[in-house]
Amino acid sequence: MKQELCKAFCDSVSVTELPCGFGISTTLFEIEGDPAGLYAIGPDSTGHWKLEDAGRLLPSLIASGYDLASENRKKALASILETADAAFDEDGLEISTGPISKSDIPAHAIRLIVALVRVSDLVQMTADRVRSTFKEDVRMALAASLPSDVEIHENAPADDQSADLRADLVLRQSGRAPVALYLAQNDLSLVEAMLLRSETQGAGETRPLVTALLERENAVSKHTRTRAMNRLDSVGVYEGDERQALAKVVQFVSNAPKVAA
Amino acid sequence: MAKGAAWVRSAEKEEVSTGSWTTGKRMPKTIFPLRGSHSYRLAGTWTWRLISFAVSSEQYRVLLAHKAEKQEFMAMLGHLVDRDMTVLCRIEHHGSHPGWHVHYQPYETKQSGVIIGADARKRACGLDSRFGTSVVSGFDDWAISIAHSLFKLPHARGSSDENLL
Repeated sequence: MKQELCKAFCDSVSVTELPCGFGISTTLFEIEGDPAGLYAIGPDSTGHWKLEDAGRLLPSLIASGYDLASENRKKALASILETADAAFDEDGLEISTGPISKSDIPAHAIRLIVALVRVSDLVQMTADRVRSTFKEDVRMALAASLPSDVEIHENAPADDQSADLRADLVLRQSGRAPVALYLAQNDLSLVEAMLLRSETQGAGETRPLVTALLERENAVSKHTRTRAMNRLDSVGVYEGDERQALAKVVQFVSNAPKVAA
Repeated sequence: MAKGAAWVRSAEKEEVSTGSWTTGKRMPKTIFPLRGSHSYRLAGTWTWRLISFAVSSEQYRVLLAHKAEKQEFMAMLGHLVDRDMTVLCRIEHHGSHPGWHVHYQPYETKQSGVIIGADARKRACGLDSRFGTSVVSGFDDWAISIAHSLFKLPHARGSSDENLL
């Protein structure tokens, strides 16, 4: 078993001679599917080497919204890198170890690779959090604005007959038709909203009202936006006019048709 | 929503503007904005160059960047609307492992404002003679030649610091 594991780990390791020293890649993968890699730079005038990343990770991390000006963020990143005796350079935006001997490269390389993969995960997590702010912001604002007897259901079906079509928010008030609200960040969300509207067309007065709030005007294609505006019960745009967009949803829920409770 | 990289590649380009190679200082925020106050900014350890062009009045940017000593290369294509960038694809080479490849966002779910889309995909560029296997010298000229070929831009004349048109 040990031999097989060693073979599995080592078969995908590659070492390439480069102008800077060596390029090394491993069996671990970064978040986008590239093999995690690093560079052995050297030897310097004292015969030492250092291990360094490509210099892509930190620009991506900062671009994703990870603010290195924040001391807490800086410490969090440093604590990941310390596990590999590495640090980051705020000017060069590179991650590197201190000087090491050539014989120490393999052991340090393994630890640094693991740390780089963790930083790579951090890029995705930060980007995901930035992306999710819109939905969370809307949900919280509606929870604060809607009458207390309006129930807010997240990622829920608005109609029992179309249980597979789940809206981002379903707003239910006793005695009124439910409102399915899609928080659209791409075309798919609007297409699903239109499908729900179409499938529930014949449900009579109890049919859910299907609405969408676009994160931004250009979050979806013009073609899909036009179709949605002509088919859904209401469409709004959030970014740039947030307060009015939310007020429109609140008013829409309050004016939903009355149905038998 | 932004068209895909393949569509942009084949489209007729207008207003092509090619910046100079720059190195030694961090990329200004205005070069490759992503969203709001966020930008993609490489450090001065990279050598980078921006090409911008329009297709039917839509604005696009290609960021070329390389580190010759590490054999790192990137050509990133983005669609810019105001300060909102949708990265359509990144064609990359890393000295740490062999193989040119492209990271791209599939048409249906393209995210703007991020370098890494939630559903970003990757595929190898295959055995394309344009890419070669090892480029140690003349990296600037080679990089821009590759980029112009990839995105069907007016062809480079070869000098790394002159207007290519």
